[in-house]
Amino acid sequence: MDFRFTETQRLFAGAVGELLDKECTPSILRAMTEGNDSSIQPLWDSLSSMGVIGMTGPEEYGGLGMSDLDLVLIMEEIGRVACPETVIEQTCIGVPILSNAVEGAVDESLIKSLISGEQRLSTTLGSAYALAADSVDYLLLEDNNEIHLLPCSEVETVLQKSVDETRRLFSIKWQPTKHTLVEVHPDTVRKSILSAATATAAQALGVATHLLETTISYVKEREQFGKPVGINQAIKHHLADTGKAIEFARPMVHRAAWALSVSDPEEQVAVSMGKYLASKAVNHACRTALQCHGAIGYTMEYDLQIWLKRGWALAATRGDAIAHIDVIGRNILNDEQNSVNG
Amino acid sequence: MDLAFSTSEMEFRDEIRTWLNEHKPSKKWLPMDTEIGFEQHRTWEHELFESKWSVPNWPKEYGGRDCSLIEWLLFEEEYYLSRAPGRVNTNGITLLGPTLFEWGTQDQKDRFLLPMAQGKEIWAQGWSEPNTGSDLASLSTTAIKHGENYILNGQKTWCSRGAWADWIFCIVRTDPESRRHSGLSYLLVPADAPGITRRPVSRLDGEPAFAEIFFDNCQVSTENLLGGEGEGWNVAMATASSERGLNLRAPGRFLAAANQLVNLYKRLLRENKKIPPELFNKIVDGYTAAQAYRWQVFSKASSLMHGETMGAEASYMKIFWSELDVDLHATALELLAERGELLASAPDAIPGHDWMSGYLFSLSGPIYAGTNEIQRNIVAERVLGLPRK
Repeated sequence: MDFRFTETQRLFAGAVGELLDKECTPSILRAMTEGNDSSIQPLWDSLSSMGVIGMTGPEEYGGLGMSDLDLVLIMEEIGRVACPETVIEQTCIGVPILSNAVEGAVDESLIKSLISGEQRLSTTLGSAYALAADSVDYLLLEDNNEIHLLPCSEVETVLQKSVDETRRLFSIKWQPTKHTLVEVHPDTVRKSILSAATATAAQALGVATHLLETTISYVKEREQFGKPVGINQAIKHHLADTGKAIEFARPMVHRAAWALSVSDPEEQVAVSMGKYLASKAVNHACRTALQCHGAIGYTMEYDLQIWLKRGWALAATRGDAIAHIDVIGRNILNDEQNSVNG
Repeated sequence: MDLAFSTSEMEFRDEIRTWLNEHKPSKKWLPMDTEIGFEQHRTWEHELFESKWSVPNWPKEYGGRDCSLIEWLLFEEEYYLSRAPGRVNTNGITLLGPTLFEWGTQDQKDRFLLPMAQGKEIWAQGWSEPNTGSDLASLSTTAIKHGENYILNGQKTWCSRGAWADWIFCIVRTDPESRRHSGLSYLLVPADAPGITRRPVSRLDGEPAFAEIFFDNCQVSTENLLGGEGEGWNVAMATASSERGLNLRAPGRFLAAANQLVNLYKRLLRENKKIPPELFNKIVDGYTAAQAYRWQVFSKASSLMHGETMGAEASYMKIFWSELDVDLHATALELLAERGELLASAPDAIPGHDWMSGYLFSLSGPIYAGTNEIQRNIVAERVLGLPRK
């Protein structure tokens, strides 16, 4: 039993975090929103050249051959800066499914270009809507338990406006055909959906962490009655509760990533527990952050809204708290002894 | 990261599981805070000690097995799952023990640790006073040096095991002119010293629980000072972080309660009781929270084993486990509906499911060892860095 990340895992996440701090600032995000863009191209290019987009791809195709465990700290960094790119869609879902497809089912050059980030993909696997579907090259879609890959030109997209303007969601109208069918291993589909839920949970933790840190800074500076508002116990207790929610969700998200990376028999329930707790933690963080900021946090011009909206969105997507409670509930009713001793 | 248990960890777990199955008493004893129950629980401590299970994480020379922190956590899980008797010397083993290892002289370690592990000397905590609860530094029991002895005067209260314990670890004011944190000392007091009067205090359901202890010119040898004179606050903080964090509350207890809750739910389903989905969601929430506590503890244990230390974030642990314990029991009472208010002795009570008594016990968690309001202040000020004033 060892719960520590390796130095390489921590350093890689730290390096990605530094890059994101420069290339995913609130003003860059605001420019994206004003332009009605679904992506920030320089940011995508940087993530690609650092190898993040192709992390899960096999090395012979130019990927890094890394696991969910290698990915989880990076996903927290991505959440921390509210990075809006389709990393989950491509890195957790598209690349693993297509690079493990039945031999010959997918063009090798396509896999390589998805790993390098030159081509882009979005998907509705594991979620109701496809993120940034108007700015990607391909869509990976499911019909009747079969997986189809379509160029964007062959589908009709309908914008479904999200509260988070940096998440441009689309529902997809399309027709499955023999030509679009991709023969994949069903287990890679199942696992990629779990992987995406785990990555979403990690991003939610990153958002929650940012909200907590920002709010701490704010209540230390903001003065009322001649003193910082942060001296009041009401404020302190709100923030301590948010800190607690994050503190106890984080190891469960890390455990989910570990379980996926070793195909632990409890991987599914581990993922659901991680996402359930992360969703609750980020909702708690949003509520506390807004309340402790007061009216300034309620405005469009103050940056807090960027993270509030992302927090709400991540809590809802890829299985909200109730959806995951359902999975956990079925699991523990079947065998509670096993999960206690596991 | 490898969250699977190693072969030796699994073997360790199997060994304690087997041992508990073979040795745990078949009869239910009287409560440990009664005179007879106390002695029954003491014999169990002897038996644990004989097989080196009373303090498995201590060094071998003091009766332990020198097991790792992870193994100790597995021990605790198995212990609670087995529903073996409560540990009457928890105050000694988990609170004073670690403090003695950190602050005790060699003579003090040799004098106190082995009898503690054997259950020959059972300890109570003498910290709170009638006017000193959360604000521990305001305490006023004095211990004035007189030759080779301190002379104690004052009153301690809310002492668990206080009525029957052999020894009491106290914080006292050795400098009567001092105020607040300075001038305090940590003193080990034999409960049979002349000048001590003890009065048992019942908890709110009338069950024996703790005691008041009065000191009237009670003489205690200066050899029993733990740490230096005036260093009591610093010594006490070593105990407090054990009390709030890992040591007092390994996750075993909550995992066992969460399991019991699921079993109760299944039992009620078999009785064809209608259970609203919101209530089932609460069960799953509590079960998941118990798992979150478990993995958080393994995560902390893992860093502690590799040289990291735990400071104020121990307060997160205390808030979490104490509120989890209340929630698990409150959910069970909701599930029981009209039977929720029944005591275990009522004919209609479900055998083996004494949730009301457990609920009352759980309600003490957010109060003792520093109220959760104080813990939230500690988290906010020392972990999150919010201003004190």
